[in-house]
Amino acid sequence: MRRTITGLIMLALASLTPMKAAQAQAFDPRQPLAILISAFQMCGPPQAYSMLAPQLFNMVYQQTGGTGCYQDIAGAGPVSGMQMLGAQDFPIGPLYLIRVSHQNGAVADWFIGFNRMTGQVEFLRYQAPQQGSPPPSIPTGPAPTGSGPSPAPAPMPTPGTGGGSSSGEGCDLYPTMCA
Amino acid sequence: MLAERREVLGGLLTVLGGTCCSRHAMAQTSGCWVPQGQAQPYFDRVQGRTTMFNSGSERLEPRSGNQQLDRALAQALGKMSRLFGVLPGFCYYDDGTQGNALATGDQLLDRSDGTVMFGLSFLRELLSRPQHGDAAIVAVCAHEYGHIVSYKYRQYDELKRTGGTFRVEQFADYFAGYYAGNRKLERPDFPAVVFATTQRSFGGGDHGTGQQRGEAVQAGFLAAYQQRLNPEQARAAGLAFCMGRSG
Repeated sequence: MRRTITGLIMLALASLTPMKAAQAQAFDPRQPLAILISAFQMCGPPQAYSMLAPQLFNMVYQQTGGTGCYQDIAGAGPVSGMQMLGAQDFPIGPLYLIRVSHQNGAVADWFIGFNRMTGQVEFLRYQAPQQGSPPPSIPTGPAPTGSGPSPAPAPMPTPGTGGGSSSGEGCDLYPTMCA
Repeated sequence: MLAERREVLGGLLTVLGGTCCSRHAMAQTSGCWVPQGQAQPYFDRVQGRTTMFNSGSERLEPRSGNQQLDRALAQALGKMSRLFGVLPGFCYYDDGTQGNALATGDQLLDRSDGTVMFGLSFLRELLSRPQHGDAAIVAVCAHEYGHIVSYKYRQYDELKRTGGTFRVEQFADYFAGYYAGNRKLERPDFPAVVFATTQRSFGGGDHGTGQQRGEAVQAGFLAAYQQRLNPEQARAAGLAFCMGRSG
């Protein structure tokens, strides 16, 4: 089992090496996302976190107190399906929107962005889909050569908040302690 | 960072002192406390014995090697002692690669209320956290001091008998939160939530899940911060809280 997971990670890492245009078209971001979600559920293996850019790694470390796993993501159970909802190319690299279904019925929309040069995950965020609302879309940035917004490291919402911003210091988990 | 650390740990009384360099042996530990009467191997400096601990001989140390950290931590421990009504000895020890901190009702360092030992590798691990590593260290100390409270004020036996290690640990987490709540009353920007996230991050096994640990810290915090319980009331409330918990 461990060998299988390690193999998958190596495969994902190999696919994340600096992307060329042709490679990018064949690139399936669902694979690294699945590995990351599994890591967030199982607190490892450590190799999975090497997919994260340093800033993102630090945020995950900070938000999880160094464990690397989020209890609510773990509570969602194994991933049962992943559907690509959109993709957008930014100067730094591609950003994908993927709807992830879990075995216990939970559904989350994940944004995952890659750095084209390093192949690492630069941006990661998830949110619960709004019932009755159309699927979220990736905001269209300026022209690829522009200096406008690009996928930037952002805090991953701490589980239990249903998405959105996070203090990154547990205040969303223990709001009464942050008054 | 050091200035920030001083802010977090600020206080006046120093309890760190004496020398406790020695080789010692691994006692029969259960989580982060050492059952009374089984801690002697840690303290064989007193007996002059040399015994083995895990990978070899281990040392107890009076200092971490970081003078400012030691001073600031001593001040924080002073506040903790006064608030909790306990005066345990405190020292660092070589915890090898298995980071840990320990509390025991056994005496060392001329202190009457047992001893708290903080592993040096554990100290380094917490200091390496991206933010509030210093507060995490104090959180762990407050947890260990919570064990000392349960020894001194005799809640330990009831907790252990009825709920095993889990309730013993919940009580210590509760008192860690109680300390954080009191500090936040004194200083509104005190990073109390770090106490909850720190214990949460060490969830698992007989200590309770991360969620259970965080809940216990939060309950203790609210006992101080919202209910304004004095230490005696907090001990009673903490015991009641823990008796209602099951692992």
